[in-house]
Amino acid sequence: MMLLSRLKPFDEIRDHLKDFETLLLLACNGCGESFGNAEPECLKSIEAEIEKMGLDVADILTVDFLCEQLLVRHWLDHANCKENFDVILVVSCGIGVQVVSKESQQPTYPACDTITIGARLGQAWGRESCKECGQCILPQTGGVCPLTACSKGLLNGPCGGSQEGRCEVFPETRECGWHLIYKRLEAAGRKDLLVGRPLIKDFSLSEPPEELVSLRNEILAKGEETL
Amino acid sequence: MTIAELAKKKDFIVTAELTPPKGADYEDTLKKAQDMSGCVDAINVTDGQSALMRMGSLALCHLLRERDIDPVLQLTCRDRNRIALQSDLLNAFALGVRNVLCLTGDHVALGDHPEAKQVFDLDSVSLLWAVQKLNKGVDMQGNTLKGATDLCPGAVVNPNASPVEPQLLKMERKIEAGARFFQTQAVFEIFRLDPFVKTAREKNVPLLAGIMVLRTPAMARFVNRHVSGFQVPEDLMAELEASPDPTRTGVQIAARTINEAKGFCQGVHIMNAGKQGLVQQILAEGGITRAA
Ligand code: SF4
Ligand code: SF4
Repeated sequence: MMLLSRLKPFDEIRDHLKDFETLLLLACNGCGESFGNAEPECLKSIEAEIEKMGLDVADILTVDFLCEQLLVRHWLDHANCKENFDVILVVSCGIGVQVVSKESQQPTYPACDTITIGARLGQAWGRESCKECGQCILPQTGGVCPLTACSKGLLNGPCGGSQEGRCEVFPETRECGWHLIYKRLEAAGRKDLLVGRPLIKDFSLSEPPEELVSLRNEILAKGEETL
Repeated sequence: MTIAELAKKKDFIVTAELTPPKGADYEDTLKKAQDMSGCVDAINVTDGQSALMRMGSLALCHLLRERDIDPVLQLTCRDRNRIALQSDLLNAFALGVRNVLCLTGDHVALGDHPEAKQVFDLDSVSLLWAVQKLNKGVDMQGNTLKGATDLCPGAVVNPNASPVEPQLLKMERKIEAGARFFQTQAVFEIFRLDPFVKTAREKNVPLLAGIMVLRTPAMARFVNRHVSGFQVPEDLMAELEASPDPTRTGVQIAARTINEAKGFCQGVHIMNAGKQGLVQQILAEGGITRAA
């Protein structure tokens, strides 16, 4: 598995979590393990940082393949029976975050920026849902990725052509991604995120930096030794 | 004069749309422009509209300027990345073009080159923001420019969107990003403009209502199928179909909408008037007279 994601800076995570109290830390054990973000030590350090932000970590849960919708549904039911939490922080690629966001009642935020998914395990999706842009903006877009959910990959709101929630380009087959985003943000009381300074992507961030590539190779080599 | 300046000087602004030729021969296109130039304040030149490959907007804007016609450069994000877009904005300024309508652009799947790679590095909002930067003498990355531009950026809203709120929020976002005028997508029912006119008034940005000329029932059906963002209402379809002279009826419908827009919007933007002489007819019928 060639997944590469990088933890977001904690300053950014803090900004996303500032209105919440109790958090579920949900990590993907699938491809994530090959990179290390879902390793127990890493999760411990994320937990410590979260607590420094003044939030309680209700539970840390690792699931094999957050891209498996049924699995996610099962574990979220389980977590909701056991604990109270008002926000979920997901350690996975952008696909996992979007599956959790779809299945959860609580606001869901990414802990990582997804840089590349060279190959993919888990459930095959009908359509790519993460373009590994290296600068995850799911917090601003209600957990729906505009780069993949919108036919034009627009970042700053719908083009004028959407009618009744369908995409103007492929009305028969596609929902308008921005309609989905609008609905989500409306439900979350966060329509304020639809105005303000435009989002402009830094495409240089989708190139894996050398130090991450070599770190990944180290982790992979370590994995091979223990096999 | 820029659209923003015109709005301060005049009660009612009229712009019309011109589509560059599919090919190297622009004589007919220029003739159309010269024909209508006497009764409009500025002419928008489209940029690969409906994702159809044509002559570019800037070349025609330049040819219009040479003939003392004020152009509005339409600039879309489909075919160029941020480097090319900023460079084209500088090109436009160098050639004396001042009005720039910032658009996202239609998806390539809708046009005549569906195999093309589309860009969308920026979108309409970030393009407006880029213009604002160039006007301040820096590029998007913050590098200092040798000479700032003085462009007048405008934008489009679609009053027919449903639901309407996401469009309104986007309109606000466009104003924040520097939009100094709006030209709307075609409207047939003027009440749809209400919330947009309200926002435009609050923010003091002129808004020109989009008027589309329906020349034949077949053409109305064609735009319903192929032009995204609006539908011709059924009663108007019926009116066209029942008419012995549909073009005449189309002109009357357009003139009616113009009359309704008076006193409500700062002007109108006439689209798709293709055939020579139609813009003049519509304006005369709509009670807008101007020295040719
Ligand atoms: S914004 Fe979209 S493409 Fe970028 S990392 Fe997030 S899910 Fe992936
Ligand atoms: S209709 Fe919606 S999904 Fe389709 S291109 Fe426009 S904004 Fe994107």
